Amino acid sequence: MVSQSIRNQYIADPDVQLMLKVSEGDNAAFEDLVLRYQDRLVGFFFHIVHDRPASEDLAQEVFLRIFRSRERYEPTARFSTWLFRIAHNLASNHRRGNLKRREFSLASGSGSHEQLTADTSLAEKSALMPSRQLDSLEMREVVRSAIDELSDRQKTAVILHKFEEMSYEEIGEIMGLGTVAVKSLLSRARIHLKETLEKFA
Amino acid sequence: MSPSESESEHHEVDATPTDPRLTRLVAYLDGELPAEESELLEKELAAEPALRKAAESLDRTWQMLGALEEAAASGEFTRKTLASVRTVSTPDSAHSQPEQTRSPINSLLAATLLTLLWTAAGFAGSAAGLALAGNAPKVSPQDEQLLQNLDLLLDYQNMRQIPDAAFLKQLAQNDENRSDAQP
Repeated sequence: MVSQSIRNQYIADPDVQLMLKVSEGDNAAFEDLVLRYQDRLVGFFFHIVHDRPASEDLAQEVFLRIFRSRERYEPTARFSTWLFRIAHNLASNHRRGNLKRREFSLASGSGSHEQLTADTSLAEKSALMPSRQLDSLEMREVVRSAIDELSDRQKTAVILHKFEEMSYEEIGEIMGLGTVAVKSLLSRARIHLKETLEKFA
Repeated sequence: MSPSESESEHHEVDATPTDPRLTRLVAYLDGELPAEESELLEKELAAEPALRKAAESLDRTWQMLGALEEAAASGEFTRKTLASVRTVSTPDSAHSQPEQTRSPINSLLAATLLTLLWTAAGFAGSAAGLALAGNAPKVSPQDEQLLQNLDLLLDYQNMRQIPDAAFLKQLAQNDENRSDAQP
C-alpha cells in the first residue's frame, strides 16, 4: 500500500487521475490515455528500432501491460514516468532479443552483414566529404548513424531528453539511475555526437 | 536488473572519461545546472573563446537531431490497441479452448447413443432389482430388444471401427481356420 503522502504527490497529475479511473473500470479513460500517449510511444520506439510495425507492436504491448495491471495500480510516480519505464524495459528486452538473433545469424554465416556494410559505407562516404552540402535524407542517415553509435543507455537518455523534453531526474526515474549518472550519460553522448557531427554542421 | 545485464549495456562510449568542464557545459545547455554554477560558467564562457566555441558546437550538433525521421501512430493503432485490450478484459473468452468440430450427424448419433445407454442401464438396473425381489418384471418388447442388444450398445465405440459386414465375415472365417489349426 502506498503512503498517503506519495499518493498526494502525484494525484494532481491529470493522467494519474485518468489511470485511477481505468483502475475503477472506466474503459473510456483508458482510451483517452491511449490517444494522449500513442504518438509519443510509437515515436520513442521508432527512434530505437527504426521499424514502424515493430514500434507499433511495442507501443501496443506497453498499453496492454498498463491495462493488465490496472487493478493493482498505485500512483507512485507521474503517469508518463511509469509508462516510459515500461517502454524502456520493453525496448531493452527487444534489443537483447535482436542481439541474440544477430549473433546467431552471424554464427551461422548469414544475415545482417550486408546491412552493416551498407550502413558503414554510408557513414564512411559522408565522412569523406563533410564539406559537401548534404541533402536532408543524407543528413538524416548521418545523424541516425551517429545516434546508433551511442550505447543503448545513452541513446535512450538522448531520446527522452531531446524528443520527450524530460529532465535528468525524470530520465533517472525511468532508467533506474541517479541524476548524476544521467548527467554523465548525457554528457558523454553529447560530446560523442559533437565529435561525430560537427563536421556536417 | 542483474549485474550481467547491466554490464552488457555499458558500451565503450559509456566508459570514456569526460572533461568535467564539458559535462558542466552540457548540463548548463540542458538547463540542469544550479543557478550559482550557471552564473560562474557564464563568466567563464564570456572570458574563454574556446569554451564558447565548444558550447556553440554542442548546441549545433544537438539541434541536428531534429533531422531524424519521426514516427507517429498509424490510423489503425487506436482501434487495434483497444481491440486487443478488450480480449484482456474478457479473459474467459480469451482463454477458453476452441470447441472441437463435430459433424451434426456425429452429434446426433452420440446423443442418441447416450440416451439409449441410459435407458438400457435404467431398465437393466430395474430388472435386476425386481429379480432379486422375486418379482418378474413386465418388460415391453421394445425394451426387451434394447436389453438384448445391451452388449452391442455398450461396445458401440469399438463396433464403429468395423468397416462393413464383409470384414466381419472374413474375421469369422479366420477364427474358424485358426481354431481348426489348434490341436
